[in-house]
Order: sequence, then C-alpha cells, then structure tokens
Amino acid sequence: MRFLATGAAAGLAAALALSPAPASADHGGAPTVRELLERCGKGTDVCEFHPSGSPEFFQNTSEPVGSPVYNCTDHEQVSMVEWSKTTGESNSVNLSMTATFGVVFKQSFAISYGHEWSSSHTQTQRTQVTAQPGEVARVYYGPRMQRVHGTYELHFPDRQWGHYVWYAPFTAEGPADGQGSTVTQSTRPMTDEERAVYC
Amino acid sequence: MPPVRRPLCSATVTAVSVMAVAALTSPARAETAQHCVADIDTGAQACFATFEEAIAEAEEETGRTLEQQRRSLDGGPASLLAARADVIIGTYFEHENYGGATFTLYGDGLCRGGDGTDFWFTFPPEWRNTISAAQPWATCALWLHSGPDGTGDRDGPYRENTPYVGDHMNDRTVSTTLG
Repeated sequence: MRFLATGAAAGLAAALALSPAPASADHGGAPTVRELLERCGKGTDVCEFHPSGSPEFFQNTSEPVGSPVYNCTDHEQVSMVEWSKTTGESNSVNLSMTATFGVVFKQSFAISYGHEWSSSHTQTQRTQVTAQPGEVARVYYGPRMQRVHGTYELHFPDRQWGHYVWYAPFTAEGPADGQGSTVTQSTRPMTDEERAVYC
Repeated sequence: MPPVRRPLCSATVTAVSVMAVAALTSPARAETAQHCVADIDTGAQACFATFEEAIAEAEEETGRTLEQQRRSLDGGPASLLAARADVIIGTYFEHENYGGATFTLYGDGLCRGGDGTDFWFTFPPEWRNTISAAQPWATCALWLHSGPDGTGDRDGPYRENTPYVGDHMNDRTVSTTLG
C-alpha cells in the first residue's frame, strides 16, 4: 500500500536475530554493538545498514543563542541579536560517524530515502527582540531533527566471537535540513544581581 | 543456471510446529500482527503485534534472560545469528519508505549472487498484493513476482534497500525469489 507511514518496523530484525540464536559451544563471548561497528569495513566481507521505517522528525529542545539584551533604559528597547548555532549528529554507540560504519550509514541513507544525510547544520540569524524597561531579552533556537533506526549486517570471512554473521541495532540522529526549525524570544525582569552587573 | 537448492516452499504448506512461537501468536493478519518472520525452507511463521512481545517470545525461544536481551538492544552485546544456522535473507514492507507491517524471511545461508535462484517463497494470503518496499539481506538480489512460486509479471533485481518497489509491482507481489 503506497502511502507514507512512520516507522512501525523498528527492531524487527533485532527480534528475529535474537529468536533463533543458539549460543554455540565455540561462541567466543558476545561483542558490544560498538565493537562490531568498529570492525565495519576492516576485515568484513559485508557491512550494510538496513533502515526500518521512515525517518522520524522531531523538534529538539530550544536552547538560548546569542547574547542576552539588558534594557537598562526607561523606555522600550528594540535590539538585534546576532547568533549562530551548529547542530551535529549523534548515534546510539557514541562513535564518530566519520568512521567506516558512518560512511556506510550515509550511503545507505541516501539510497534508502533518496536524499543526503546531513551531518551538520549551522543556522545564522539576526533576530529582533523587544525588551521593556528593566527586562532582559533572550533568543532561543530549537533545530528540527531526524532520527533513523535500523540494523547493521556484518559478514566476516572467519568466525568472529563465534559467528560469521552478526546483526547490530543502531539509531542515528542529525539535523533535518529544510524541515523548519523554531526561533523564539522571551523576556523576563532582570534580577537585582543582573541589574548591578549590567546596568 | 545453477541447480536450485531449495524445495518449492509455499506458505500454504506451513509446518509451524517447529517454532513454539506459533502457539502464542494470533493469525498473521497485518492489522493485528505487525511483524512476521518466516523460515523460507519450512514456511514456519511467527508474527508479533509489538516488539515487546517479540522480545518476550525470543526470551522463551533462546533461553536467554530478558535482561541480556535488553542489554543487546540498548547497545550492549549485539544480536547474533550464526551463518551456519539461519540468516536473514530479505525484509518486505507494507508501505514505502520501510513503513507499516513487515515480513522477514530467513534461510540457511547467504545468497551466491549469481543469476540463479537460491530461495523462493510464496507469501501467505494476507501478505499478497500489499508489498511496497523491500530490502535484500545476506548478499541477495531480490525479485518480486505477481504470481505464486515465482510466476507472473516480475520486477527486479533489487540489490539495495528499496524504499519503493515501483509502480509495476507495487501492491501486486504474490511471491519472491532471491539469488
């Protein structure tokens, strides 16, 4: 049935992989996902990533950007706040995605979804803020993000940890270009301490 | 063309007794059981409404503790499967972009990557005419067919993750071949 649906398939492969997995006598201990992915492309016959479901888009928490504006005058003040914020990628194994498994992920993502994975996005803006007398104004930025789940499949020419084929669950997050992010501003009364320091 | 390795396997000849899983699962309707897995050799099929159920079942099947499995999903020891036993050879999706219900086939080895057919499978009735996306695993190239047992119109080979199988075979697949 052809219509878009968000990832209902997450984890299937992992479940399957678990179910028929007898711990054989020659099994040499279980590696971590991290250990497996570090081996991707280094002595593997196959290292592939199979995504489950469409990318999930979500709004990251808004964080303050640029400098706060303190209105120490006795009239309303309109100011421009210049700011720049770079949002990067992260993943479930806390390894740099410049490693081979990350390159594999990005190639697979492009083939799987028809557009490039974005590792980094920098948003630069001048935002107008309005502060009443005695207030401090701040700008907040919340980038739009995407999350992809899937399973790595690794084949080794010789047994590794007792097996030729391994499956490893994996999740990556990164900025979603062109999906729209949120920029907000808020004001609050200055504290006595701030007034003493900035006014 | 190399000799065919597998006996013809239709889902109508399911001998589900091999997997204790079957006892716990309801009929493999896509609406109620989102995630099905099947042994391409025996047709044994198990479906899970939720991932949690699949994990619970896996615990029973493998005899591992749930905690060990949780760790494997949390980035601890990885899920494992020996190539000498079964490996995943393909996953089929109800919706494009790998969405909706899934059907995953496993078999007893990797594909050989030639022009021959290493595996073939006719989907159970509730899975026919629904597939919109596919993923070949285990170095397989995958074909989709509009008739049972690799007959009828076909499209392929799909050698990569395929988010949409194309208008020719979308919602028309009845069987699949892999090689």
